Amino acid sequence: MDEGLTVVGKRLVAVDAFAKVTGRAEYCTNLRLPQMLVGKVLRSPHAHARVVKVDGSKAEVLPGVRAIVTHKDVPRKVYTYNVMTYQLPEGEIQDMYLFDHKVRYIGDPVAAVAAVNEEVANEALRLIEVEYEALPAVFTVEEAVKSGVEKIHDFAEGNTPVPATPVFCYGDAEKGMKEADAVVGGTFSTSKQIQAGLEPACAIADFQNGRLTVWSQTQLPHMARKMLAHLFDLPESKVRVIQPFAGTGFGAGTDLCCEPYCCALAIKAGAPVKVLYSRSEDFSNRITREHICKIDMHVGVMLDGTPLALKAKYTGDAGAYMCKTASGCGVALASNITEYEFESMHQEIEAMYTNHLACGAMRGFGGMQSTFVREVVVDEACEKIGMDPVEFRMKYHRGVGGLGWFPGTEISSCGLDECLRVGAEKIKWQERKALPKDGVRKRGMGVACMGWLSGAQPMLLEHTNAILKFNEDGGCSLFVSPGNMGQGILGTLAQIAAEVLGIDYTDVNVIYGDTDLTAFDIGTHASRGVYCIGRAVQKAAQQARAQILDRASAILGAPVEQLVIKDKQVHVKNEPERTATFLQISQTCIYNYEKDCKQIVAHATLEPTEFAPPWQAGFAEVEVDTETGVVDVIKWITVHDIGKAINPIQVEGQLEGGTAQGIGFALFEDTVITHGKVLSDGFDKYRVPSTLDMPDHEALLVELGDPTGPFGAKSVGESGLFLQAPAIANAIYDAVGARIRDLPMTPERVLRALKEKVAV
Amino acid sequence: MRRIACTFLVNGVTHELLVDTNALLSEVLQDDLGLMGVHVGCGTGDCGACTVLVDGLPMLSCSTLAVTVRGKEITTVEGLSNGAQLHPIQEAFVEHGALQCGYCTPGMLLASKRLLDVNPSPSREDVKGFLAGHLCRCTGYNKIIDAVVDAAERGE
Repeated sequence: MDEGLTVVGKRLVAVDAFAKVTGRAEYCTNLRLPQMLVGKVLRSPHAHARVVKVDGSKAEVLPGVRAIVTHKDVPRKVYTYNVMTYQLPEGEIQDMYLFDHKVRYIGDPVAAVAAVNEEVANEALRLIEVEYEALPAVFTVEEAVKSGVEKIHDFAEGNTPVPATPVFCYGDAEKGMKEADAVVGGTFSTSKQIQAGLEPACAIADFQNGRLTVWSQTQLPHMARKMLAHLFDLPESKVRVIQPFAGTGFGAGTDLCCEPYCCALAIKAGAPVKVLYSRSEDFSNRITREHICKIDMHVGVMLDGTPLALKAKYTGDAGAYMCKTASGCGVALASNITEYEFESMHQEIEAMYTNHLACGAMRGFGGMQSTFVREVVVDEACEKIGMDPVEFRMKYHRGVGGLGWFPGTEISSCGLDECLRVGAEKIKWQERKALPKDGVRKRGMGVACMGWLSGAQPMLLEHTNAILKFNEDGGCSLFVSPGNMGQGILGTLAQIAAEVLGIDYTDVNVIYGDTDLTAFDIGTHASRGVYCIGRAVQKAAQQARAQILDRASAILGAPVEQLVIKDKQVHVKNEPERTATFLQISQTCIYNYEKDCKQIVAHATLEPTEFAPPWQAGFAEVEVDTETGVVDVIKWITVHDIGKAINPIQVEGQLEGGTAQGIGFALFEDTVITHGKVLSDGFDKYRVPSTLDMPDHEALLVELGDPTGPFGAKSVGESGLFLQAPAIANAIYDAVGARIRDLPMTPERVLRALKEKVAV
Repeated sequence: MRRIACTFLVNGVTHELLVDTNALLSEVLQDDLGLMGVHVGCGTGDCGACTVLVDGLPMLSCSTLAVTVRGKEITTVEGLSNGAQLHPIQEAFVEHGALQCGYCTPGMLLASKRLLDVNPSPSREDVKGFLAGHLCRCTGYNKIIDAVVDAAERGE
């Protein structure tokens, strides 16, 4: 399928790399505007309290203070950080007010200040007087639902905004479980991972001539604009969201963070304000991975492996606000449907409020948790029926035409067999029985697999626009609006356009990151960039190509059907001497003195409907120290069904980076919260994998093409970090015969599991 | 708070500044000299993003008082390239895709420079060990290690 491709599939350097290696890249944190003030947020020391009084009068008169904002200064409007609420017609739960009358977690903002420098801003925070009436707080979902417990939100009886609800069930799971030869499963827990981008949370806002401009780390600029417009009673056209480079992302940018406080201050101060969280403030207040704290899952299979039934329940600890917890549980459930050909499935979700920091989204949203549990349970099932785990997966995964996540969707392509085959060969799966099991340090091998998505259509609105504009030199500008966190989307989209147009990818100047310049786009979430935006770019490029051919047809006096585009030239088939260059063509479009000017501008809108899952197999070889409980990953292999890698460097980069985050999720990343206080509030306490934590790892690609994706491409953005936890858990079992059901798999948990195994 | 007159040789240029005794090196480089390639990731010396070279040695500018390095030669990422001509380590990072968000990149580049200054042909394990204090949340480190080894092979 590579035949004839000149740009797509090539290992090209990222278009923004030069700025980043020379220190010239602009981030929110290093941007400076004239007269810019320092903004700071005053936070609640209580996990749950009524705010009786906020008095900023003493702070207001401190020299150098330019604005104090409290609930009195902003419209009282219900909102949510979760700007993805706009992707559903009925929206999602909105339960936040800017500076509410109640605080619901330690850190909940009660006021904010803008001052000429940090010292004055900090002094002003100390001068704001707040009177609280402390309320009883709850820190587990079990406590939250006890009768007589203080309600965190008035509307949510029993602190349960989402009571246990079955979703997307099919077949008769009860019957399946009864008929199954083997039923295995249990209760699992997962951690509240932090996105932990290296750039701390930061935003800048400016309000001039009735227009609000916001520099944000958002991944969803147009929906962030809509939420900010709503919050401050402005029409969307009076709000402009600009995305400088972001040193973070991984889902963190799908929710608002410091923007609301920053905007409130800028509007009141009449000057630009930057709010920059310290690392501790970031880890304690930027909403984390969706915390699906508890998962019950059982599967029933026949002795030959036939998967009869799957039952699961996902419980979310939303924390103080719903944000993305309910949708995270929903994705855990939906993504679980696609992997195996279970004849019946019954799954439920529920979510409770507690007085914890709320949850947003992190890469692998929801699917991380259900994949971990399902892949471990399937491993148990294989052990019980005596079937090779790779063989089970090859035999019973869903394929083309099978059930997609959302009712009515079908799988468009599947390269999982090839992923399993390549990975098993690479890691020497067949030789795993020979791994050393004597002595203190024992070796084992594990496998896991998954299918993810390329955009959340048709369940969610995935509206995308791309505009291409040709200049008089034959070069063009491409206007798109993804989130750009350095994942390589800009160059990848340029490659798609260049391939269609027969030009170099450096001829495509990608304009993004400004809602005033670009047409609407949902942005970047759900691994949609290449698949959804890429298809719109492909469509716009095809339209531009048609315009170029029309113009060339007039110049060359030959019908369009006889024209060929090659190397920035159009020539008549079999008559290479009858040629018009892109330069000539573009010039006649713009500087045409025969009264025939018409600039080549193409616009494509796309609302994809297809379900194009990327598939993946992951293999781990581990060594478990049975005296210390320490698990060393010796080798990690990801094999990813990408359909077609538009730029293999970027695809590998996504997968390799995902491997690090997946190993962190598997073995040590954990937000430690005690009595509502985030204790793991720095890189010294919240461990992010360093070079020394990384095993020998590699990412391999399977490219069999997808009939719906641009040049056959599917997604990769989130895919890299799903399989480390389950494959490592399965490898630990292979090594020492102990099942770990709680993440992260710390040495303490491994030792406990070893002890329990001996006790049994 | 006291202010002290300090001289710094930053990226080959001498600067004479009045510096608050409690000012961090990162603050002086960013605020007084406008060197925005100095990226602070944590402010507590745990991530390595803010690393600069002081007399050729990597130092955490977020955890160093500026007055303690007065009179010294400081190199930031802005001082690595020669105009539009990238330093071989920068070139290798670009070509290998050794960066994504780019926030840890200045610290990674400068630490790598020090490594190659003292060890012109490091093994992959040497690179891993030397860069262990530099967190990257995006790449999984493979391509960073590839880039440093490749830069060494090109003779830095």
